[in-house]
Amino acid sequence: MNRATHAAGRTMIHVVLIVVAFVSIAPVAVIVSIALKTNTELATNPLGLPQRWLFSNFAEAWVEAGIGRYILNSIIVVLPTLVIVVVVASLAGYAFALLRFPGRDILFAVFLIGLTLPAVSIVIALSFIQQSMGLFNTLPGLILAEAALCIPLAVFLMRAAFRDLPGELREAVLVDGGTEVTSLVRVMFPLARPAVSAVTVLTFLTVWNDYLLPLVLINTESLRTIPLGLAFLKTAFTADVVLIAASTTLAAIPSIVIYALLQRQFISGITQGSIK
Amino acid sequence: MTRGWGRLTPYLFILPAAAIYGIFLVAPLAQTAVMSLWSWNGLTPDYSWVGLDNYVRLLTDSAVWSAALNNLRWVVLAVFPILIGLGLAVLLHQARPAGRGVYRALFFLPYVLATVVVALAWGWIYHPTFGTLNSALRALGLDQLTQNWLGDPQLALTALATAANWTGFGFCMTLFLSGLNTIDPSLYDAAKVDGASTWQRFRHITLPALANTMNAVVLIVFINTVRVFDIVFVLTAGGPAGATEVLGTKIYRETFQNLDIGYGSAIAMLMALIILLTSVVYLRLRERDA
Repeated sequence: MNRATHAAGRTMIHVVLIVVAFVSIAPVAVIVSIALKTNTELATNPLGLPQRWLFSNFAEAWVEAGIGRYILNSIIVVLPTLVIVVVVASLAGYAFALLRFPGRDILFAVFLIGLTLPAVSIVIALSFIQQSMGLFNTLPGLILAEAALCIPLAVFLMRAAFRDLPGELREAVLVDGGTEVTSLVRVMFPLARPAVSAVTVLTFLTVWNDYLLPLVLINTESLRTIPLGLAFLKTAFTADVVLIAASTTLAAIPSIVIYALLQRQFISGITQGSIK
Repeated sequence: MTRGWGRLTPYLFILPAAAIYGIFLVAPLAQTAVMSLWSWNGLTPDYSWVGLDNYVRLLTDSAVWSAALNNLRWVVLAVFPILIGLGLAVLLHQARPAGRGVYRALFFLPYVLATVVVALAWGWIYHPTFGTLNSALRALGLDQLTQNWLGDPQLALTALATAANWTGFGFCMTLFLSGLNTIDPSLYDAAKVDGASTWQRFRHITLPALANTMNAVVLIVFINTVRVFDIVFVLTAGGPAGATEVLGTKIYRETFQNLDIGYGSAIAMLMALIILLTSVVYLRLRERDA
């Protein structure tokens, strides 16, 4: 009796989990299945799997809808942003965690404000500032803006990581005649790797998926990043649902592949970024 | 000489981060605050000082209140992913079902997708004629339940929040799981020995241990809901008839479409203040409890 209810309970748990798993992937599956149909088939068979899997739709999205260009732009924006954020946040995090200097707490508090500041509140002023600096509608301008958005959380996480490391390690480097730079580069940074990977994952997600900053700061078609390009396709090719679905699939693939490869880093990165 | 440089070291370390952050985030915030005191169309050089007029107007503008109310409704709907995430986390943690790593990975997947991707996928699910949801209802013979999900002012906000919640429940679950993993398992064993029921163990061990995680989750979900923009802008742009207008899309409309930079900036400052004050109050309360 007891064993039977136990087995029934186990089954119930799996039923619940499978239903939720289905809900988690269904919207993705819907888009992929549309991407493989023709527009005619979509009208007559909206629910079922495609009769013939038209992988050529992806080639069409890559070339005709210009998804290839958008993905390249996103890569051009994300990689330098990652390098900038990791480098400047490590430097600042190190100073805030380990060095004593006048004004430290106030400066850190100023960085904390940025943790919750909504981008939508500042984008118009940001675009005026970038215009006056000649950065408006350029990828370097977008890179710097994205970096600014990611820096507060990155500084916060790097400071916490450096503070948790034993301070004697730094003192040993200084006693041996090393500088703060040697201590950071040779000893502390390599030891802070979990925080570095958390910062990398969070920055990647924020920048790769960001829509608002490119929307406001970029107005040349050839400079669009992938979310901006996708949103544009939605209005430009309203009738061609299959093309939009194929483009959406291509846009989602990099996020899903990177997540699949670095799942543990993603989950610990999100957890650290949220709970710390 | 070296001593002079040594004293500068901390500032030199902070300088690169401070420069980027200062120029592209703090300066725009300051400029937004200044612009909110002026009337300007953003194009011609004729702007005029209006003092706090934009703020007075904001307080009496029913469109701003209705947008803020939509944010508030959305906050209420955002309770679902928190509860579902909590339930799933407890289930995965307590029952330890086979394949829980796979389940966890799948539940979290929607969170890594770009909001625009999510918006386009759900836009198709909600499509009135060919959309997945209505097609499925028809296939089940439930034609009377089909709806114009995003076109009906009564349903649109809930439909949008549902799409957003879909990306959020796995995120909440992940945070709760990390909170659960900090609980010492021997506490449960001791409680079992003392004859505590499953519910009592949940009530007296699990829930108290999750208090901090719960606070963080609620704050994050609240902030994200108050500043929501992308998914609304892509799917409904605030429509139909303002039914899904939120503060984020209202700011965008005033600044970029009505070219009322001063007024848009005032609403932007309002949103930033709401979020900043909530965070400060929250962190103070947490410090007091700790």
